[in-house]
Amino acid sequence: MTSPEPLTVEIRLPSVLGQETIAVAAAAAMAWNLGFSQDRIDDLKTAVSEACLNAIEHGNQLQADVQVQVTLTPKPSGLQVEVADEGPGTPRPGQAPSIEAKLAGQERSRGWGLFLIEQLVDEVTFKPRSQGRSVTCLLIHLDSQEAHS
Amino acid sequence: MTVSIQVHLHPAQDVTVLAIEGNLTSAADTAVAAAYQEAIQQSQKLVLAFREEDIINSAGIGLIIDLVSQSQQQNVALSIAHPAAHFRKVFAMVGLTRHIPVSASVEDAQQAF
Repeated sequence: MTSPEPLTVEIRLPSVLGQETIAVAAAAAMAWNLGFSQDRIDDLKTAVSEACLNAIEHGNQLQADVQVQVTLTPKPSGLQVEVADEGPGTPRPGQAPSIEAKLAGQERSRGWGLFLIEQLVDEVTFKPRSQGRSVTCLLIHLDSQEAHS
Repeated sequence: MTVSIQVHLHPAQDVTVLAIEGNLTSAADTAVAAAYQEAIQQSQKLVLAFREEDIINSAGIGLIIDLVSQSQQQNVALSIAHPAAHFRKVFAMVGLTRHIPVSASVEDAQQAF
């Protein structure tokens, strides 16, 4: 077991819908402290929310006693957020969701989570299941030109 | 965790505003669907109006898509008003703005019909 990096924050959530808001609030507070602009904090909040929802719903199958672990780590380029669950790993869709297909009833209307994550953060990595957990790793850059004063 | 959402209907001339108070998530499904059914009894022009502080997640986007699909089949004109630029950006990202008008205010949404 490796020691966490300094200033890392770890949060453990029960796999219950709504609990993701706790991780979202913590990520937003850390991003604010790091100097992120409000626009980037809003992007981060949506991405973290969706990653946690995937972990709660699909990874841990809404089992309240199975935890989602969220690790927030400041990086020189921004903020890294790791979301770990005990599921088999996030299945990657073959293609981006299509609203036209959804309106035509050819796709289910939900299923935007991964798309939004990929659109809103700078890097996304889906780590394959290892040691009983699967990890989605997000990195959102701090653009100094956009930082709040 | 208790998640509450309320939808108030505000008829005004030929438009009915569905004023949504609370986060649009999977927990909002029943309340919003019921409000939509009630609203189409009053008007064929509807505005889904959100407050700046209310968030919309991917399940909420799915819920809006369901409403857009229903409205197209029923010849109901649907529009969205959300004061938060972030969520207007998200609506554009997923392509909603190709199918219904999205505005920053209810007043702008009413004029978009």
